[in-house]
Amino acid sequence: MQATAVPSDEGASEDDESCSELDTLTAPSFPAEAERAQPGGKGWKYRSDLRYVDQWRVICIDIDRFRTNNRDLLKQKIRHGVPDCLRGFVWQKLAASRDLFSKHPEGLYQRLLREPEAVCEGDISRDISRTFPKHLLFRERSGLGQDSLFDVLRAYSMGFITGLLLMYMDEEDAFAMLAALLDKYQMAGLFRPGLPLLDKYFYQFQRLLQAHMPRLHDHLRAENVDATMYASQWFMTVFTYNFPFEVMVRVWDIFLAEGIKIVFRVALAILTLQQDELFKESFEAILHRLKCSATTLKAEALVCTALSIKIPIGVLKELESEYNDNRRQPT
Amino acid sequence: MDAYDYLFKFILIGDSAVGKSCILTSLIENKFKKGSSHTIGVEFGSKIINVSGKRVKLQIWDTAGQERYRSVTRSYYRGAAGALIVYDITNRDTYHHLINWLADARTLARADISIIAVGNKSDLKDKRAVTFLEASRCAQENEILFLETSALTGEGVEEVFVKVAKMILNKIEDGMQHIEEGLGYHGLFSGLIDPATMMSGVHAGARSLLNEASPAEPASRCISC
Ligand SMILES: Nc1nc2c(ncn2[C@@H]2O[C@H](COP(=O)(O)OP(=O)(O)OP(=O)(O)O)[C@@H](O)[C@H]2O)c(=O)[nH]1
Ligand SMILES: [Mg+2]
Repeated sequence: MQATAVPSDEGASEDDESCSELDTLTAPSFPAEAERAQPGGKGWKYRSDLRYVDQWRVICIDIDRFRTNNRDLLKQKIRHGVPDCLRGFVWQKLAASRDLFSKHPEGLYQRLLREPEAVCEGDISRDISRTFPKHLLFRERSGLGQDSLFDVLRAYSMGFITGLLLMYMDEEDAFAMLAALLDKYQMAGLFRPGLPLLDKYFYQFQRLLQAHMPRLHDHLRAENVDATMYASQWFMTVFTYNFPFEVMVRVWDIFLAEGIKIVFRVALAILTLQQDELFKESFEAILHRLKCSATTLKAEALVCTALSIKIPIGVLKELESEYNDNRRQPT
Repeated sequence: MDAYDYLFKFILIGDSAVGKSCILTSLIENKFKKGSSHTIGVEFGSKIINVSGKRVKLQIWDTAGQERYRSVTRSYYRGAAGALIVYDITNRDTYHHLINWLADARTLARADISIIAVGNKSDLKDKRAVTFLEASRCAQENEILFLETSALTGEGVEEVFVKVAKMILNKIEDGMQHIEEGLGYHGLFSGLIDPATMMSGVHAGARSLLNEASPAEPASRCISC
């Protein structure tokens, strides 16, 4: 399997590790999240957190090599969550975003900033105070956060994700991350007119739902709830819109390491975790639940459930061809 | 679920940042939500209002104004019985675009959709860039309703919805008269009630007159023509 390349649908796809296996796979010196959270007194948790961060520090000394030599171990560690203090660094490594600077040593970002006006500047300045309106960094109109957010958005428009990135890195690095996301993670398709990528995601998601939870799929269909009503935000922002911070960053750890598949898994997990209630509900209540689930679900349970949902290698690709075929022959 | 006589589906359309989501929040929660973020895709809200002695349930789709979401939002026009085209009275561009949104509504929605132009942010008096008069003339020329609102103060918000609902009710009642005159169902509701999709914009509720007219039909079902 590839060691350095950025994950595609096909990339790091052996998803046979469920959560329980996950624990056993974890080397004893690497306590799993669940273990770290065990009751053992504050002091215990503090020490074990420190140890966890230390292990990550060791990994980070040469993360590229660690990634090559201990691919699976790194994957497991990432699934347990990257320590917050190292997140910015690890994310940039996973996305290999800084490659951009070696490709454009003359300071691409600074140059773009000097461009007098970005095409969609009007949209952007309207957007700016409305992205992460509640986060301290961004609350003041020309506070620290907003100015740098504005600068990144000027070069590339992608609000919520940019906001998240800026919490972990400076604007130039965030810019490089955005470039990597648009390019290697193919997110550009989410911003082209007509949202071609979003449309494809909806199709793939609906087929996955049908395969994984046929009864729920039928129930939602009977209640006229379709994915565009509740999943647009999930796909467009990769769970950075309206999700608790902890959920957001855990999903992003995995997304950057493994690619788009985790987005489908989390989406299916959100439905799975609430299916008993969903079955009893009709249109409005279902919509309400799915819109608010963001705030009620716990990060650990969600990530765990998501990882227990298997999407075998190649399935997303298959669904993609199916989608393309359907589009070629309009019905 | 609360009883109601009719169920109408509405859409909120118009440029980004004109205040569509704030209008919806104002209607449903009676408050102004500060620091809202732009809508991604669509949002949904519902409320029962009283219109000429009838309880009317509104199911409202608040669409994203940003151009790039057009492909997602387009599909929500289809079932709507009422449309609110919102512009910002402090921003002339959003007013000029009204005509484009109207064209969208006319091509994508059912033929008899009831439309109102809504000039929002009426509280920002000293920043006004579109006069009440010109907007109301424009609405008249295009044969749509018109009102100004402030999502901030709540002024005009409920009126907008009531006004559109009233118009739809009138259309239905005109239809009922035809029934009484023995014209029958056919042609009557065509357009107004579209049985082909459950997204249909008008449903009769449990206490509906329409149901009384055809007692064999189960209550609250979508009426077919
Ligand atoms: N003063 C004033 N400000 C308003 C009013 N309504 C909305 N706003 C502000 O206008 C901005 C945009 O409001 P939204 O409701 O999010 O706009 P929208 O039309 O839903 O935008 P999209 O979702 O992008 O299509 C926000 O910053 C609101 O605070 C109003 O009546 N008065
Ligand atoms: Mg909105």
